[in-house]
Amino acid sequence: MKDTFRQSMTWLHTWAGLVFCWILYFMFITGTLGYFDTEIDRWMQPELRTVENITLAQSIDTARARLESEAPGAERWLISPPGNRETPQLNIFWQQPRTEAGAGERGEQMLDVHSGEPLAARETAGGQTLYRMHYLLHYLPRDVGYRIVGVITLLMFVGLITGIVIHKNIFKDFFTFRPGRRKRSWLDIHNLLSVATLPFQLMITYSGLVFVITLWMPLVGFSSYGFDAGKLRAALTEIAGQVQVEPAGTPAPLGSLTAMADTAVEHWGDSIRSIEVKWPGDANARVIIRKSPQSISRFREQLVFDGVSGELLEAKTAETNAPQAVANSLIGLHEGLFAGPLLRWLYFVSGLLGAGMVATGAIYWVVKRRPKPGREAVASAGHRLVECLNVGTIAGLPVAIAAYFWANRLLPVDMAGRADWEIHVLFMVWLAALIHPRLRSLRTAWIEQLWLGAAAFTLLPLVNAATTDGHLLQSLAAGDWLFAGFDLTALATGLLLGIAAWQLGRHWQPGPKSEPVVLPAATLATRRDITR
Amino acid sequence: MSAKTEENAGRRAWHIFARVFAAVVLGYLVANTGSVLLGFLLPLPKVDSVLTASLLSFAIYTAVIMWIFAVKTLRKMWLGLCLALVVTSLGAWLLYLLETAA
Repeated sequence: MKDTFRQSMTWLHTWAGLVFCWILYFMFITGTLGYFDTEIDRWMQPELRTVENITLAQSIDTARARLESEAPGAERWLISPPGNRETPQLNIFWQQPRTEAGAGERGEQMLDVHSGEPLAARETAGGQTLYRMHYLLHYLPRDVGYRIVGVITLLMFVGLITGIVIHKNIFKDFFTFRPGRRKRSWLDIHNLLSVATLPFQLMITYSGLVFVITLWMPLVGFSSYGFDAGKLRAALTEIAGQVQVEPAGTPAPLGSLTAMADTAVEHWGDSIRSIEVKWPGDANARVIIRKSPQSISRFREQLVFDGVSGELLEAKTAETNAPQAVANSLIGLHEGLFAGPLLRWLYFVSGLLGAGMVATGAIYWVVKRRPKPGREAVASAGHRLVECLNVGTIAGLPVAIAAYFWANRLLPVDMAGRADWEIHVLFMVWLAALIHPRLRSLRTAWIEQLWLGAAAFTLLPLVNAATTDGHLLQSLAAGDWLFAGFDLTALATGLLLGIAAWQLGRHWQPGPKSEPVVLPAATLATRRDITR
Repeated sequence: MSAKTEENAGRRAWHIFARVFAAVVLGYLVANTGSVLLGFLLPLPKVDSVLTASLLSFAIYTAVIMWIFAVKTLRKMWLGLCLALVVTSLGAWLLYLLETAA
């Protein structure tokens, strides 16, 4: 393409990186928040209290009674006992058998362990929807969003590899920072963020691709099995360790789930993650009890019982297949479900630094191409568009996410379609943030949006205090680290955005035509400090 | 691409379009057929080699894309891609026939 290999790769890095970088930034931010998805869920339903002093048997009996009345004749039931990070409340899920019309109907409920009734809490899209956006986007059919995300992830991977290739002195440049040097400073920050977190970025990107392999690279498995989807699925199901069982068609009462759970507890100690029942009420019923995640791999140890007699049929302790173990480990690393609090925060920070890498790359692109000071050159429409998308996304998306949390507290509790409206608020605010820089000078747009974000996050603990019966001091005193942690994180985010706004205003003096002259890297001093 | 043609905006746009098209369509096909061939060639049990080839498919695609944007002339690019496509798909097809015949 260009004269030398490195020049060609620089070109590819620049454009593969730029073309969808705003969606990539969105994926990084929402995906990073996903590491605290259930924590955000709980913050968004402050009515719910932590379940305490409930035995496993009580949970199972309550769940079973509810499932028997809600979903008799289902293909599968799933009971998730309360008290762990992923399911703080007692959860039940069911799926009806597949019909000719398609997949069977599904249902999900959070139960009050004492009454057995569904828990009453405000309707919310929660942390789950926020987390799902990073791989499904939103307002799009599931398949379409998934495919688009696959393409963008591949571009991210191309960006990473070409980035490594064009980077001659990875070690030396890592310690290079030239503040106040305009363009070079942005490049230095971009390099610093990318190199410091390179292992994480490579891992998160390639493992992200592993999720979409069957969707985007279907030919590999398909052709090897003579284009016989059935054979392929059977082979994959077998190595994945999934239990395949057909119903016998003759009814038989389901055995005691608590007795089977007791066997599992004897096996593992008290770390049951879920109890799945396949074909409850059928003679061929199977009960699969899975262990809480304790290793990196997504594979979870499981015990398989005969659902009628309660006899232990099989104990699956690990994958027996090496490539499957690799795939499971990559996916497990991506999801990070095994991570304890400290590692979870490390995931969170790494994800934010990834977003910073994308943002500084996008900013470097425009800063490098801005008209030279003193020249009469007019910025092209494309350049102007990138500038506006940068402001509206890099500074605007945090505002939109703060608005999402505000909406959760301020929308009427009994509003129809409340969960959807929380999301609408997020996207409406983001849209406004994308339009806003069109109406203002760039400098003003950046500063106003950063200040708005700072205010929105800083006030969030106050909104929470005013609309719920708890506040930060209370949760700190009570040692409720979930609510205190959310409030403190909001305050820290507000502080960082405020520092960015303040520094930007100080260093970026309005030019004679109120167009950008210098955008100093010192505005990102806070980000730099984090990485050190 | 010489310096002269670089200045020619039309030529430049065509070069970019051709390479993007090649990367999206031909490169994607080559990544798929290449992974299929790899799946047949790896000396592993079938399901293992298929999975391994699948896991590597995006690395193969990335390498193909980088090659497409690095290669000097468009002629070389079209030739290389067509050759790779023919060789990998023929190879995979032959191995498939051998396997089913055996």
